[in-house]
Amino acid sequence: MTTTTITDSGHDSHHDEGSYLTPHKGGAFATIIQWATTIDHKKIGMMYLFTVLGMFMLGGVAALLIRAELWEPTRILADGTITGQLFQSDSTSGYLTYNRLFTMHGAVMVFLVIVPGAPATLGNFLLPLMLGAKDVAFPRLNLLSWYIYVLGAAFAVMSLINTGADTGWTFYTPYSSSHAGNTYGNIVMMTTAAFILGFSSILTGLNFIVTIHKLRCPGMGWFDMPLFVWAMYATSIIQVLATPVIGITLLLLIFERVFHVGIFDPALGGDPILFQHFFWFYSHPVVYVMILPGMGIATELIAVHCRKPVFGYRAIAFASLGIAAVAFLVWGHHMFASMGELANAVFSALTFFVAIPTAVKVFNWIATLYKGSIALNTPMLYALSFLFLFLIGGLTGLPLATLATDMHLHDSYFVVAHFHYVMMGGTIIAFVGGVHHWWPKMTGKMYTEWVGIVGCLLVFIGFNVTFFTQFFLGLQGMPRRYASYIDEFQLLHQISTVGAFTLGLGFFIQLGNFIHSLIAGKKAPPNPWGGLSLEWYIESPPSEHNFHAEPILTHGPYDYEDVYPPHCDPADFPLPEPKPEGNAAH
Amino acid sequence: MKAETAKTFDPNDPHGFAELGEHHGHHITSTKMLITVILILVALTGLTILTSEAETYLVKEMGWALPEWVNVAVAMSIALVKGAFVLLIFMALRYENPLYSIVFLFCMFAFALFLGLTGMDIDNRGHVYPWKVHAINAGGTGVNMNYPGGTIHVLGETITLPPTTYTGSLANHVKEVYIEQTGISEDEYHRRWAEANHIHEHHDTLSSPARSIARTGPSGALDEAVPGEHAQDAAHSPETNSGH
Amino acid sequence: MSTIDAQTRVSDPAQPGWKRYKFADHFRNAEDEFDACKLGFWLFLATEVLLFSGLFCAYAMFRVKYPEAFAAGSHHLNVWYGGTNTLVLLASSFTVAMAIRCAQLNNQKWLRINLIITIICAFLFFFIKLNFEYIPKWGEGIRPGLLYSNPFAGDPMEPIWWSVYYAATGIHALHVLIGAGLLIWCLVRSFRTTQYGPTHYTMLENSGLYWHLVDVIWIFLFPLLYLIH
Repeated sequence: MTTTTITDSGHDSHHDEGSYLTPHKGGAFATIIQWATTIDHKKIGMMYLFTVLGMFMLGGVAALLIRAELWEPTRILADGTITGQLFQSDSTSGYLTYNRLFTMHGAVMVFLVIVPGAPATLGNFLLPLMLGAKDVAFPRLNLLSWYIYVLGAAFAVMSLINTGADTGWTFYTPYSSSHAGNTYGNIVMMTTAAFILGFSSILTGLNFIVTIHKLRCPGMGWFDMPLFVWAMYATSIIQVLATPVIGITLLLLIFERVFHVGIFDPALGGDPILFQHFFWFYSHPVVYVMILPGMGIATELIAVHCRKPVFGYRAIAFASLGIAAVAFLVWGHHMFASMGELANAVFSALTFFVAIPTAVKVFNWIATLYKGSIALNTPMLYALSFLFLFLIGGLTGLPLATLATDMHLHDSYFVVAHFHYVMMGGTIIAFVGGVHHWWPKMTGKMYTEWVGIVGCLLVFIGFNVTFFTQFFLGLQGMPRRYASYIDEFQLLHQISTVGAFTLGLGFFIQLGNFIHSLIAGKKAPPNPWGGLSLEWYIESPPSEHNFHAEPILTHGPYDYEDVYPPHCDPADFPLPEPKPEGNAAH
Repeated sequence: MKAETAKTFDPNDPHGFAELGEHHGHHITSTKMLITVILILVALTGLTILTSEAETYLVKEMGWALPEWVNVAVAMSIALVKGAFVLLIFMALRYENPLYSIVFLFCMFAFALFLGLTGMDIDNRGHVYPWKVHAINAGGTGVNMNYPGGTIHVLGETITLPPTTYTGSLANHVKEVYIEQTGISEDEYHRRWAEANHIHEHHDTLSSPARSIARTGPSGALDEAVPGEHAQDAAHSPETNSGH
Repeated sequence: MSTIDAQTRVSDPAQPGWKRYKFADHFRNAEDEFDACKLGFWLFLATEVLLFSGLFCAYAMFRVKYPEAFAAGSHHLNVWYGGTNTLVLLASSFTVAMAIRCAQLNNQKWLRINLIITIICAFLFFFIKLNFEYIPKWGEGIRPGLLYSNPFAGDPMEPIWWSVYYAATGIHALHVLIGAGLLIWCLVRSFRTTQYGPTHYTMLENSGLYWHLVDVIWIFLFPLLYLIH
């Protein structure tokens, strides 16, 4: 198949229609109203992007403050003076501030950045475009989920202003429910924030599942969807099935905190371990809510920037579903220290199953890269960083899943490094790469390539310096969540802190690059990278209605061997030798 | 990949459901069917109450020692049948797109996993290794409480809870406070207790505060493990060796 | 604007609402929209079931741990109130199923009558729950957790049972009220614009599904809470 494949009849009229970014004719106020009441998935996606970005900065600043505090161990000298105390002169309240900061960092990053990040921004923007639909199935619900997100964020910020919670993002009972050290309202507020954000997550997931089921364009079967959509599908299943449990958990925690109902309070005969089961039944699957979209983005980036069909399409698609299934079986590995031996052994064994679908994906990505014409531009560098970092993150999960080694490593910096490699090195890196990849489509502007590459390299180096060090710290016994440590750890902590600020610098360079691109960027062509999925068939930025006529799909999203990418000069895309007959249509 | 799809494309059936023979019309359940189902449901409600009463009769009057699970198993089986009727007929899962049934089964699957894997460690959840004993404070037994007091707002009513410190369960604490405040004798309390719990026959097997002991809680093994004789083991703990 | 928009739209205000209904622009036809809404609602129902799964799970764990406390606490509940409430909910489930049937057959009068009966049942359920169970129990000092002040506990661990009881029935009662709200909204729309008829009754159908789910949850809660011995 080498023919033009998408009906493009209404192409001439699109200049009149204007892009979805065109401001309202009635001026700035009318434009704001128009955005605030929009049900256009692209605008909602952009609104999510900017709110998530704001929250990311909040969480990031907290992270940098934590790292700054750890530059020096807190010591009380012989003459009574305290060193290394960044926040307060009095060490007790200084520790409290430290606890609040890491709680804020964790809660904001998990509930407000990583979980909604990729699905609600890129997912919202791209899912209907990739499926050839005009919008998601329930556009008003989509807008509602954004408002719920903003409400949840407001609660989180209110809790922060009200001195903040100091429980850690996991809200373990009985500390969170009845300890006198916490002031009354802030825990409830932070918990309420997480509770509210759960609704936003459920609504997004539900919306996407229905969209994928019902709004695929004509000709698009399940196995003609881009793999990003498959990843979103698996993500949404987890969101729908796991999030309600955190809802009831946090609701019971609020009851516990306000009425002292005793369900989780051991002093009243309740069971704090039950809280951990409840909490991790959601919060482990949600780890895959975080990483699956990252995997989907990486698949797209690798395929497009290698200009090669994805190796093992169905394997990657089913691996996404496999991860979603395994996600519900392994939560106990967060609780090895608090469960009985039988449960520990069962959960440990089940945890290793996660490695299978994950490894399937990694091998397929590598096979896709093999002999591809790799373009080492910013998105591809991010995709390669993702592969490298995610691999480390995944493999360091194995000693944590093994009971014997976990008894040594649990609650140490090894764990911190492990999940940062997965969540940040995996999800955030893939997400930022995805934003670079689709930035021309979303905004209609190109960013400066070399700045992007510099930013990416800084992020990559800064990230590894920050967190690879922490593996050593953890192995040597540095416990997590401590504001103070013994002097022997100081060098490694300082290296880690330097890395963290490098990482921050890298992100700021990217932010500057994006802002510069919005103000003075070159106009983006419809298909700067030569992608084949449907979003590249329309102009950048897309018009209000996405497609001028309903597209009819006649080829897969990665059929680079058969199809010229749209809107591209065929000279840029030399086709391989024609295949022998009978092999062409597979 | 799917070049042939374009040829047979029907705009009103974009995914070719008609070819797959998928049922698409709306099912209208007949009144007869609905009435039959509601009658079955009412009958099953009666049945579940009756079996429960029968079990109580067997236990209390006939003195049979029915195991604990019988009650749950019978009641839940009947409830499952009732739930299935509502889901299949009233909610029309039987007639609708099987996708909805799949969604529901997935949800049940997640529920089963949740219940099963959470319950897996219920018996040894409180188990404590002897060498960890020194590092653990008792508290998971529901046998003591040290509540600093506070104000609770319920339905517009402000309830002030005084600082509370007691040993034993909350229920026993409330009982002791009651006896102290009213100044009644233990016998009088027991009479009132039996009245409040609707216990009139002497051979009733319900538990009573006289024989109630504080049951060990979910982390009950702590209760046995913690007491002071292990305190001296602390000298061998890793914490003290790695001092800084 | 879709080129395959096949539905003929009637914008004559004299026509009933269900004939005037125009499906959302991004669906191909009304059938697709109906299916999408229903799939979305089933997914939502799945989340509701999983929300309650937490309560059922807590119930199971504590019942295994404190069987005597659960038996003692359950004896304070009157089976007849619970049984009556079960029948009330079953009856309302039946009437809401009938209401949907009436919508499918365009029998507007009985659609409204059935809905009204359903809503009355919903409030009857809530009234029985509140008036004969919550308020007397609260007055006797039978309250959840630390608020518990009834000196005649049958078992030392009874407060835990009451916590589970109040949490489970309270959240269920909240769902009853939400369901009643949805059905009232359906009724209002039915009176105002004759919104539901053979070709369009999505909202009614989904509200009905929600109501059935509330019923199913109660079918399980009833024996678990009232029929322990």
